[in-house]
Parts: sequence; C-alpha cells; structure tokens
Amino acid sequence: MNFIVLQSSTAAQKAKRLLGGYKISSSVGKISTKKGCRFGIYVSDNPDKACRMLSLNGMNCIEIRNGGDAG
Amino acid sequence: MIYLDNAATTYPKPLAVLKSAEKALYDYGANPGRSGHRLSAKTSEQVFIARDKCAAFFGGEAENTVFTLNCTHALNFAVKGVCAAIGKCHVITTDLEHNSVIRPLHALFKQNRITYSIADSGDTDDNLISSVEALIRRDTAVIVMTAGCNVNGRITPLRETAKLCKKHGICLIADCAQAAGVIPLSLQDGINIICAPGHKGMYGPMGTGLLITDGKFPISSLIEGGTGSVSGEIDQPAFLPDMLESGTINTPGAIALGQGADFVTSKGIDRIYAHESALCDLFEKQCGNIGKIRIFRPTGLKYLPVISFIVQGETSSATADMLSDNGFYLRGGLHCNCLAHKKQGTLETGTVRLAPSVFNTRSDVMKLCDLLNKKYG
Repeated sequence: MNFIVLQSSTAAQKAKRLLGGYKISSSVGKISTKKGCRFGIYVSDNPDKACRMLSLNGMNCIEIRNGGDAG
Repeated sequence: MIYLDNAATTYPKPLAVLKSAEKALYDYGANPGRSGHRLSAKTSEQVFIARDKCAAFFGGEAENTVFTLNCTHALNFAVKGVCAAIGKCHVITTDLEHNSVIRPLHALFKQNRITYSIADSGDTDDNLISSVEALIRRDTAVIVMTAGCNVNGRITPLRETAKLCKKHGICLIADCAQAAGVIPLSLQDGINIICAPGHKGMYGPMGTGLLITDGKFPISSLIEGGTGSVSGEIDQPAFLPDMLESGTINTPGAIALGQGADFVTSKGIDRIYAHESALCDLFEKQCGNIGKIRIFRPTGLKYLPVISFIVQGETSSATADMLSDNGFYLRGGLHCNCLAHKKQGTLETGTVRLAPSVFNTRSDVMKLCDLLNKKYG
C-alpha cells in the first residue's frame, strides 16, 4: 500500500474523488511525520500514475511513501 | 404566524436541510480533518461534498472555499485579511453597505491601517460606477461592494465593477449577504472574493457562512490555531481552506448548508427570484396607495426581493410590534445599515422590512396588506 502525502484533509478528499474519475481506487488517511501529521490518500498500486493524474488536475503530491512508512 | 423576515434568516428551512443536519449529528460525529480513523474520514468526506457544492454554486473551487460562522465573519476575514496582506492601502466602498462592511473598514481606519472612501450610489448603476471610478487612487487596492442592499434591495452592478477592478488591479470583495441564493453570483463574473451567509437565501442553518476566493489576492489569517495540517510547525498553514479555518468547523451546519445549496439549485435561482419578487411587487401594488404608508423603492433600478416601508407618524419598531401582535413577523429598525438609512432619510425612524422566501405565498402578502389597509387605510 502506498501513501501519497497531500496538503490537507480537503486536498485528500478532492484527490480521492478525482482518482475515482480515473478508476483509481483510493482511501483518505493520515500519517505522522517528523513535520507533524499529514493527510493524504492510500493507493494500492501505481502511485506515480495517481500523482500524475492529480498533477494534471492542479494538485501537488508532496511525497509518496510505501510499505511500513505508510500509516 | 406569517413569517416575512427572511432577509434576516430564512424560516422555515427545507426538510432536506433539517434532515441532513440531523443525519450529520447522528452519523458524522467525528472531527473532520483531524483524525485518520474511518469515522473522521467519513465526516471529512461529507464536509468536502458540502464544500464542493458551495464552491460550485458560486463558480469556485472547493479548496478555495472556507466555511465561516456567518457573512460578517467572512467579510472580516476578507477585508482585514486582504488589507493585512497588502499593507496600508486605500479601500472604496458604497453608501449602501451593511455595518458588517463599514465597521471593519472603519476599525482598520482607526488603527491607521487603511484609508477608505464611500462612493455615492446615486440613482442609477451608471452613477454608482462613475462614483466608484472617480474615487480610485494609485493606492486603491480593494473595493468592497454589496451585491444588493439589505434595506431597500437595490442590486448593484457587480459585473461592471469587476471589469473596473480588473483594469486597475484592484481586489473586488462582494458582500452577498442578501443576494446569495436569490440572484446568480459567481467568481466567473470577475468577483475576487464572495462572502455569503448560509442562513439566508442559501437556506442553511444559522452559524454558517462562506468565503470563496479566486485565489488571485492573498488573504492573511486573522485567527490562528489547530487546523489538522502541518501540525509540527508553529506557523499557520499558508494554504486554503486550512489557513482560514482554525478550530473545528460547524460540521452539521456545513453539511446542511451543502444541502441548502442543492435546494436552491433544484428550485432554480431564477424561479426563486421571480417568485419572491412577485410577492414584493404585490405588496407594493396593494399597499403603495395606502395614504400613511411610504415604500422605499425608486423606479428604474433592479431590486432584490426585499422591500422597506414606514407608516408615517410612527416608528418602524412600533409598526413591527403591531404586526407581530397580529401574527406577522417582519423586522423593524435600521437593519444594521446606518449608511443606507442615512441616504434614504430613515435614520431616525428605521423601516419595516418585508422579505419573502420561497415558502411564502400570495395569500401571506394579501393578508398582510389587508391588515395594513384596515389599520392605516
């Protein structure tokens, strides 16, 4: 499971909806980082593609985390 | 009881709005945008859906749509936030403005943070535009204008003002307190920031409001605190909506406001305007000829469905009290707008304001007119 860090909870909700339009399944979540908690979305595979789709829609993927880092 | 005080707060609310508030309290009880557990995410999703609906309603983007406590709260954020981001500047407003515009401006002026000028709205849209244009200076950074006056209902030429603002690089903040949900208003018309209440023409609950920006002008935060984002830093997040949404939002209110936006869309804003305007026109026709009643609605202008009147020889409060005793709920007084009353010469008496909603009928207005005719005819 990969976690794409986004700017805020609102951004995560928007990302989930946008990716749904591309048939990319995701769920909103939250992780703790050294800079504090960050909201984002879990995607099961191809996080790069998910980020590209988000970028196309003007959204900024701050970071992609995977495996044990995610959550 | 016949409620005709919808310019203060629409009542009753649509059933769908009531049900969505109730559902939110039952089913979406976790804090949105704070925790990562499923109930919080579910609640966040519902808030996002409402945010998105409100954004779409005003031609904006969800992330640039901020839930506020009311329109006054939104206006304070917009006016003070934009002025703080710009630095000392000149602001133009009009003589139709509510106290929620003029008081923040005057407070900033007293703190030596801005200067401001009040444009004479005159008798025509052209008068108003000319008056605003004549006041523009090199340091004019903001124009704050109502979309429609809450005392006499006069609709202002916001689109033309937006063109003027674009030409001069000025930020246009629109006070849509009385007009939201009644006439079409959109950021796509060139307005930079829309401030709107949730509890009036949007048919949402009290304690809700909106600030929707096109993002072209920075807004400084007035209140800092927990946002659920970048919590490891002591600086307030620099992005919307978090920057302006410190502290837990009114979640059931926001979700119900989204339902209110749906209600207005489903009814059709043009149909709502036509229905309510027809009721105001009926009142004017039926009561305009009653000798002691004076209606403040000059011809040749466009009006929101709000109509102000006085009974000569008595205060507006006395008239409103008499109406209340007879089961008609209308507001008397100054309607928190000293400028408009000063302009129309009713600062001493105030006015009684009739403001129908989509739920009022011709029969409501006819009964009111019958009573006024019986008392004062």
